[in-house]
Order: sequence, then C-alpha cells, then structure tokens
Amino acid sequence: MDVDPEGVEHGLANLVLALVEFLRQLLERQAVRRMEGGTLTDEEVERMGLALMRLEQKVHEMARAFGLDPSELNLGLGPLGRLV
Amino acid sequence: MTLLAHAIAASPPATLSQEGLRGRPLAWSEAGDLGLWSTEWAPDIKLERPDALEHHRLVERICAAQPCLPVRFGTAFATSDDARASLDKRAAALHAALTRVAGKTELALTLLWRDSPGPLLIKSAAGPGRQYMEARRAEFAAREARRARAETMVDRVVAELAIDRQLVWHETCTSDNVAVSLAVLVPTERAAERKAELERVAARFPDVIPVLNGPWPPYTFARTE
Repeated sequence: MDVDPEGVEHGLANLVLALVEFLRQLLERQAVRRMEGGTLTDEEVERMGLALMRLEQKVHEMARAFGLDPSELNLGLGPLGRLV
Repeated sequence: MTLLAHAIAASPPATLSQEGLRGRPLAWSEAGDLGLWSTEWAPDIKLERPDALEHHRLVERICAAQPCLPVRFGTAFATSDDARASLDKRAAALHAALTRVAGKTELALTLLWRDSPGPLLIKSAAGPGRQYMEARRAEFAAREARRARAETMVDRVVAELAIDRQLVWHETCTSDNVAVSLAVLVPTERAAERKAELERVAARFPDVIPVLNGPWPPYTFARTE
C-alpha cells in the first residue's frame, strides 16, 4: 500500500474540519430559524450572530492553516450529495 | 495478473476485437447468464488520464455491440473468480439494470445559472452580529428559491419531453453555478431527435445556460445500489 504521511494529515484535517463546519452550519440554520420565529431578543440575536461569525472565521482560519480552501470543507457523499 | 473492468453484459458475449486497454487482451468472465468485459492488467502498471479516455471508448464499443452496464473506471478484480463472485452477488439487480438500459443511450443536460446571487442589502444601523444573522437568513432564502426554481425546470423538461420519470436522474444546485444536472435514457435510434428536443426546451429558460452532452453509454443508469 502506497501511503503518503502528509496526505494522511491533510485528509484527516479535511475530514475533521468538514464535520466541524457541518455542525457550525447546523447551528447557524437553527439560530436563523429561532430569529425568524421571534423567540430571540435583539440582544440575543446580536450575541449569537457575533459568536457564529467568529466561529466561521476560526474554522476558515484553521482550514487555511492546513492548506485547505474553506470551500473544500463541503464533502461529497456520492449518491447522497454534498454534506452541506 | 488482475482484471481491469469495463462493462457488464448478458451472455453470450458479443463478437468484439480482442484488444483491450493499451492493446492488452480483452477478457470475458462469465457468471451464469452475465459476464464482465475487462482488460487483463498488471497491478504494477499505473493508470493514467489517457487510460480513462480509452476506457470510455472501449465502453462505447461494447455498448454498441450489446446492451451493457459501464463499470466505473479503475475498478479492478484480483482474479476472474473474484469478478464472477461479484456478478453472482448482484445478479438480480444487474439483470434489472440491463433490462432498463437495453436499446437506450444516455443524454446529459446541465443548466448553469446565468447570474450569481445578487448582493445582500442589510440595514447598516444594525450591529455586526445582527448583520451577520440577516445575511445568513437572506442567503438561505435565496438558496431555497434557487432550488425551487431548479426543480421547476426539471419538472418542465420531464413534462414537455414526456419522459418516464424512471428514465431520468437529476440533481439540483450541486454548486453555486450549477442549477440542474440531468441525465436521461432515450431510445438509441431516436437519440439525435431527443437531443434536439431537449435543447429546444432548455433554451426557453431565460435564467440558465444549457449545456448538452451525449449520446453516450448509460453511465448514470448502471448503478445497482
């Protein structure tokens, strides 16, 4: 078997960050739904928005540190389509 | 020696030139009333891009000679027995797929959005957190609207061409610029006519650029899972 150690690290980083990005986007959708439902105060919307914005920046920063483009964090799942 | 798979067909095998990939021998491994066309390969020979194109030409040659299910490029079996065991395991599904593609050929239609989504207008008086949330909300809504529009276009294509839904495969909005990826099985002898009809219907959508490909072997409809 021809295994490239750097390729393994890159692949693992891609997989882990893709899962983190998937969870981040789920959180984001849930937050938008709550905002649309009117169950959040203005202050809560502001705080949640800031938190999600910083989380997005952080995930993208980590992706770039591993030489990944943030758009690569959306994994293809074959016949099931894209992860997000 | 390994076997580099090209296509699955029903036995008896059609009469074909015995030349496989890179001029190596083309083999037929029979299992019951099914068989696998493959090239006798050496595991130490690495596959290159031109091999993928040659595989496609081989599949076209096999499909022109008899109904067949193209196998994904790069699929290999260690021995002929392994190939036969793989066919045996999926025999019923493979027969159903062969019946579906017999006498048919695949056309592919891709619809590309003409414009990217417009800029998001967010109240500037709001704080950065609120602006971020509003931007996300607008983005989700725009994405949903695009998906709905793409599905409407698929419905129009299927209805106007009176295509049996079972002979159509499609995906929508797989990337920012792709609205629809659609593949359809059509009778081989009517492929040119159906392609022209498909082109006419797709040209009526003002918001997308149609790209038509094929006819080619039924790659999309060879799946059995």
